[in-house]
Amino acid sequence: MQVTLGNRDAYQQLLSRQLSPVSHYVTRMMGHNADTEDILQEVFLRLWTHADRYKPEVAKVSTWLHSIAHHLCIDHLRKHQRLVLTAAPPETIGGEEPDALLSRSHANSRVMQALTTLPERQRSAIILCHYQELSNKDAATILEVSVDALESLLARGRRNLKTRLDTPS
Amino acid sequence: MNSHRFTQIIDAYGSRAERWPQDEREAMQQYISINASAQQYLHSQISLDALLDADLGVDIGANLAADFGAETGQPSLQRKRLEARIMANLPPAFPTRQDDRLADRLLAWLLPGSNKGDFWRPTLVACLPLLVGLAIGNNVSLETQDDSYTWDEEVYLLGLSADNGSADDLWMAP
Repeated sequence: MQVTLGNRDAYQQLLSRQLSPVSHYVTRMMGHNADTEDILQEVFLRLWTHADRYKPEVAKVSTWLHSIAHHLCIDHLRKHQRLVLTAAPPETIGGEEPDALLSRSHANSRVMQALTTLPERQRSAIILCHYQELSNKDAATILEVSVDALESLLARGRRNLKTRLDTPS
Repeated sequence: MNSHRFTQIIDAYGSRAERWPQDEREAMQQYISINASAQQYLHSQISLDALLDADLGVDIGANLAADFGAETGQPSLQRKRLEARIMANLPPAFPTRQDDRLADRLLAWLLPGSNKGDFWRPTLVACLPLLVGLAIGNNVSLETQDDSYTWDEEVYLLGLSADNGSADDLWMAP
């Protein structure tokens, strides 16, 4: 891998390709937290400084980066314990009716709120499999568990999510 | 496919077939097509998936941009801004990387990861001093005195001293 040898151009290409999916993961894990950008910077700094630790035979680059992001998010959440949540600001979507947009936005923020109250590993499992659309094997690698354990995390996460969403806010 | 595995998959991955494990997808679909209670269970999960999928359409990039205090909400611009910031804060490449890599590779070889089959490596390293000790013990012989030989030798020396006694007497004589 060229990045291992300190090739900045190769690094920039990789950064352009991976920034979007990793930022989606970190944002969903952290809620709309002010430290999201710091975590993203740290993830991609490690891609540069720890590139020699990457083993292509073990995982894809995206899996490896998600794994770094996962550990940084968990560390951050545990350090700060209390996560300050803010609802996602409603975004403008061209052509959508205001009522539909409002109700969709409300549903989104409810899901986001419910998601951020889940235990970290359950939340991470749901984000990786549902939103990041990673395979169960990749998600299990990132969480450092077996596929069976991942399925158990997912099932518990979905059950908790359903309970939280069924409860009127 | 049986009902236990079917329930496990639906509980974990939800009602959408594209999220089910690829190697079990076909079996799942066959099972659902012939089993009414399976269809009912599948439908019970649809509402949760619909809620999760609604959130899937959110442009997280736009929210990220808002979090970064951006003047414009255009995700592509914000992504470029973040990219530029990451590139600007990048430290220079380390000249000793190759050496570090060797040390890291040695450490990575020694320390087992999630693969349980690799546990023989640290075990071997831990046993190495014992093996070296055994090898030294086998090859280096410490000289020990043979008691029977010592006894024989003592008798012989006593005999000699008895003979020498008379010679000494002669020698000591004026």
